[in-house]
Amino acid sequence: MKNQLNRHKERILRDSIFGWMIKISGFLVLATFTTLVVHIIYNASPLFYAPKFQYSQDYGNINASQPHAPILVENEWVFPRYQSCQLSLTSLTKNLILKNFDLDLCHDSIALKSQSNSLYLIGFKNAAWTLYEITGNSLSIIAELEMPSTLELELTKSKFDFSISNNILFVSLKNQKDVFVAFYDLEGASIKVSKHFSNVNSVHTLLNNSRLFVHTENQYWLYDMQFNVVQKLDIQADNAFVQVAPSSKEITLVSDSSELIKYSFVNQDGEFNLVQNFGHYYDFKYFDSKPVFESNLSKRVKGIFSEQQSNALIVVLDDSLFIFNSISGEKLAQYRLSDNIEYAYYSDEQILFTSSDQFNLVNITQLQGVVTLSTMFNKHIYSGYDSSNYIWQSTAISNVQGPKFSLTPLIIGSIKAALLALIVAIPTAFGGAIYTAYFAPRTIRNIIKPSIEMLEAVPSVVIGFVAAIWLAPIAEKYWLPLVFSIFAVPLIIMMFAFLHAFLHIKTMSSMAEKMRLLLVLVCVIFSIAIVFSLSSGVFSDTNDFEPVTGLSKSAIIVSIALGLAISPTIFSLIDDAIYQVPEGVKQASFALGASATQTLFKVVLVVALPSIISAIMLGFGRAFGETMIVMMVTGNTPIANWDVFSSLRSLTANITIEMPDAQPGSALYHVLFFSAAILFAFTFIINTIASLLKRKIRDESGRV
Amino acid sequence: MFKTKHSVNQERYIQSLIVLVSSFFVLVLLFALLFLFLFVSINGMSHFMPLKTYTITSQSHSGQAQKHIASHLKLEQLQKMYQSTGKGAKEKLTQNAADNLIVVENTNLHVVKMKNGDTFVGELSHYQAGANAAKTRDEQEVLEARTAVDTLVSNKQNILNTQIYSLHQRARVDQLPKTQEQLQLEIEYARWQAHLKSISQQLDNYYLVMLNADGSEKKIPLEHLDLIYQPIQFNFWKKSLFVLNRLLVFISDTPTAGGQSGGIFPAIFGTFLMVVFMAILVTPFGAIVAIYLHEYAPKNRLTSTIRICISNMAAVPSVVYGVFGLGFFVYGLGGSIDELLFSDKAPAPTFGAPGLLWASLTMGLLTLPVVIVSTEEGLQRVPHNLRNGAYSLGATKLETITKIVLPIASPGILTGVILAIARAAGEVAPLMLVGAAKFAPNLPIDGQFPYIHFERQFMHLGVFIYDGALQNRGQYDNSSLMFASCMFLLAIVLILSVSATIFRSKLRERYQKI
Repeated sequence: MKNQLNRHKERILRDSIFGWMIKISGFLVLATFTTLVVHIIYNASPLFYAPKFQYSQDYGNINASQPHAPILVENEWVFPRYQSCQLSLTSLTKNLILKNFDLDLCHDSIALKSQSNSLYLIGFKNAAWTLYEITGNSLSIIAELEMPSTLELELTKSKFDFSISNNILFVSLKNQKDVFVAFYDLEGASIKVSKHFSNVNSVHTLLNNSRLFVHTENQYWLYDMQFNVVQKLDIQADNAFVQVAPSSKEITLVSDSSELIKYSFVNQDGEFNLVQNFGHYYDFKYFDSKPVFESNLSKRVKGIFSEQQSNALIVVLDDSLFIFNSISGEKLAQYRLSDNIEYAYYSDEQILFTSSDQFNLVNITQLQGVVTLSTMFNKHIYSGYDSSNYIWQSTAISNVQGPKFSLTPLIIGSIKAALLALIVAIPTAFGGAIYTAYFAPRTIRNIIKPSIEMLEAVPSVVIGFVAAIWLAPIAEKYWLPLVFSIFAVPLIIMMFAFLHAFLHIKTMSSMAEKMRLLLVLVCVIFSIAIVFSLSSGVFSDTNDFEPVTGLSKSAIIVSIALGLAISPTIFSLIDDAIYQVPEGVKQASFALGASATQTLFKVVLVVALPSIISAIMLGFGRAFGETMIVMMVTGNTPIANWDVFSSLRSLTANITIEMPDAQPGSALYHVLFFSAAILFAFTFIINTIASLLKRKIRDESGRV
Repeated sequence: MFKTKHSVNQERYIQSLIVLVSSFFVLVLLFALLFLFLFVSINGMSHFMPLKTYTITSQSHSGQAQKHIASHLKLEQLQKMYQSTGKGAKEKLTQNAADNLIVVENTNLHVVKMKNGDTFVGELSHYQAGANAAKTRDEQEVLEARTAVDTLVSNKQNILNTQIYSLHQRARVDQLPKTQEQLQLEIEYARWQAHLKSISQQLDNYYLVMLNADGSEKKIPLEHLDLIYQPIQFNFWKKSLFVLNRLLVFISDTPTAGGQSGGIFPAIFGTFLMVVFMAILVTPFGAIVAIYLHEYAPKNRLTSTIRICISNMAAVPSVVYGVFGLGFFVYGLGGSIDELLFSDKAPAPTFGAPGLLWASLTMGLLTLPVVIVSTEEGLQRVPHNLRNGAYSLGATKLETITKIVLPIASPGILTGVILAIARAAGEVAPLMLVGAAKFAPNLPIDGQFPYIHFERQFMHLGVFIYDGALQNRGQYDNSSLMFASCMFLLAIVLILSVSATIFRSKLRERYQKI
């Protein structure tokens, strides 16, 4: 007895424990869904955070024995120092010598330049120059050069600057209004050309483009490397601050009138000219709308730095920092400093500046926030283009151009593919469903419906494979007969229908349904065969019948393949909707003397309409989210137009292509998460509307 | 007020038209299904069939034969092939465009399949087995020669893969003053290189000589030989054996030459493994959630929220799951596992990179709604009387569910799992993000501890097909292996879905009996 009681208790206990476990699992599904949504939104959200400044004061004291500018080496700001034939790099904060290089020759003085992961060094000794390159821990001599004999300016008195690209060394010496420039050919170790400019404000080199940008009193000139004037720029700005992007593709000017102007090279009939990028207004107002700057803004600019990888334009004024989006011109962040900046240096998302007698450092974080909604959805004039465009180009081309994250062409591609697929799928699915659910006898329906649903189970990669390997080349070759049969076959069917009805009326005997199906099949195959062979025979002689080469990757093939893939889904849903119309409704219609067609169009379809619409919407959602077919059949070029003959790239295909290469935390990674969020939101909306429509019909049929 | 005969006729015409048009669309769908199935299977089967060989002779008007070509392609295919290279077939085959081309089937020719997927057709001259051996056509000797070559090739692979690779890794140091040990390594490296070279030289002595149709010789190293046969030797039985053998090789071999030849065993195995782990994860979870929804959940707003979640999870595009899997499982969970357990291997990721476990988890999430919906359908079909009967006999809810409801509803769960497996086997996009590789030579299961490598990348049939399509775009003639893979995938998925349908109808029958 006691034993039984214990067992009973144990049973109850087990029951309640299990009950709780099941309840928890039920909530776990909710938790999973929430995690899915939250994770995607969380990873998309960094795009909406503004870049942040992290200010750390007292980064080191300014020392009189530091004649060279600090540079960032292996994520540490260092001072180069040249003493007794030795170059030492001393850490700014720790006062520790990080690296030491013995130079082969002893020089009087040196000049340094940090350029794309390498450090270049020129050592001067009388008339001989030696150019070194430092990468990692190794130092190597690139060339030994001779100082130009025309050099009259003394090195000690003037500002020396140089840059290197493609075996060409550019040097400039500036002494107030006099500038001497020279190009060296590093392979031959000889001077190519040199020129003495007098009475100029500044000379900048656009070395990658073999151009010189010269700023005289209030005029701006573009020279080629033979010192011929290529272009005179029409810039209304006196004494502007000029900065050339490291890519040599862009020039940024800050004029006195509080304006930031951007110029970039644009291919105009084979010639690359500097063209102003209009349409953007770089706003130097503070966010809290304090008064606008007084007129001499250009004097207050301490540096303009462009971060190509993230399209950020960082402007350092004497008392504040600004970050702009260099594509849209939007102001993203500002930082007001309490002290005055004298010199500013920038490297790798760090701004180092001097004020009074110490160094201060500002770290910029969340630079992925430079990608704004405007850059993702609006047209922009990208540098190198003379008109505004939607462009998706995820990878920055090695410091030349930043990535372009326009989602518009991808969304257009997705919608285009889905709509075109619907054009194929709606008639097929709708027509088929009318037949199986309304006309066909139950036995035939029981065979046809499961077989069509079998088509739904076919993996999309197989459909995509057949379409890419077989359909696309066929369509490219026989596009004219294809188009012709699309128009001709319905006509033949129409004729056949009249014949059929005529016979029906004449003989007054109704045909067995299976026989009829067979007849239709034979008729259709015959008509297609006749039309196809006829038209290919007719057109093959004319010159018009040329294979269209672009067709195989165009949206049309997608519409056929994708349409075929989604039509079973739509078919099945519409079939259920029509089949579920209550029998009583139909019988009432028949009783009132309506014919089968009248009942179909005026009663059955009207009742089933919300369900049919919801089925089509679900089909659209499926086509929108389909990846493999679109990816395999199209050329995957992101083009923002609605042309059915051009290629496309869908949002889904884009994610699949780009995601494996996206570094976690990079702007691309977050943009892809954002596009996943768009896909998610889209299907959520479609799904919700569809289920609301279904609920509506359930309520209504409840009333019936 | 009666309808006139005319309008009745008109009505008939319209009805006839609508019936015809709608039945036409049904036929289009059925035709598409049939066509897809037949097209893929015919093209797939052709991969296993022995090729037919032809001699193509160009003949001038005077009847003089000028040039022969032996090929497994018929004239039309040759024409097509030459067209794609920009020249007409006639110009390639003859000097004179007016010449006749005669195609004759010639079953005496030998078909040679190379390991890189190339095919060569011609007459067999002789084999050369070793440097000093005489020319031979003796079958026994040829067999011995091929075994010898196989041993040499495996030796060569072994040296390349283990010795030279590891030495190369160890000896690769940037700093200039080399230590004694490094010098030793370099000497050893050179020794292995020499050994390799000698093996290669030995291999060069094994070859077979084929005669082109115009009499010129072509040397084919046995090292690169995959298969040689003569269509004439096939009667029906031999042909079936040949096809079976090729099928077996296809299923059991690894792909070579970037998926141009060989088999698809790693892809089948990887798909199978991923699907099994996914089923192990998703079945209990999906079934329990369905039991909760159907047996436990009260009819309130929370339950309907859960239902909305599930229906939305079913509609979310699969690639979104891939993105989630990559962000949450691979970089999130995998990254933290690496930090905790594999910090000695950092920064090389162990679990923080796409792999089998994460793919299974992601696919589990993707197929969860399928299992839930199907299980719930199964539960709905269990009559309430049975439950009430169990309760009235004093059973607890747990006992009712485990002993009465679940056994009856089990075909529903099975249907769900089968459908989930079919879905996961055919899905590609999310797998490409979370672990399926285009080529993964190491299987996720091997003899090394811990035997099952959850962190490894694996090959998947769908991804394999996608990659093949990418490489063979528009080249329909060269993709028979891909069609064969398609045929396999299609067969697996269709068999699974048909069996799911059968189980579902069984469930219906069972409930009708009760």
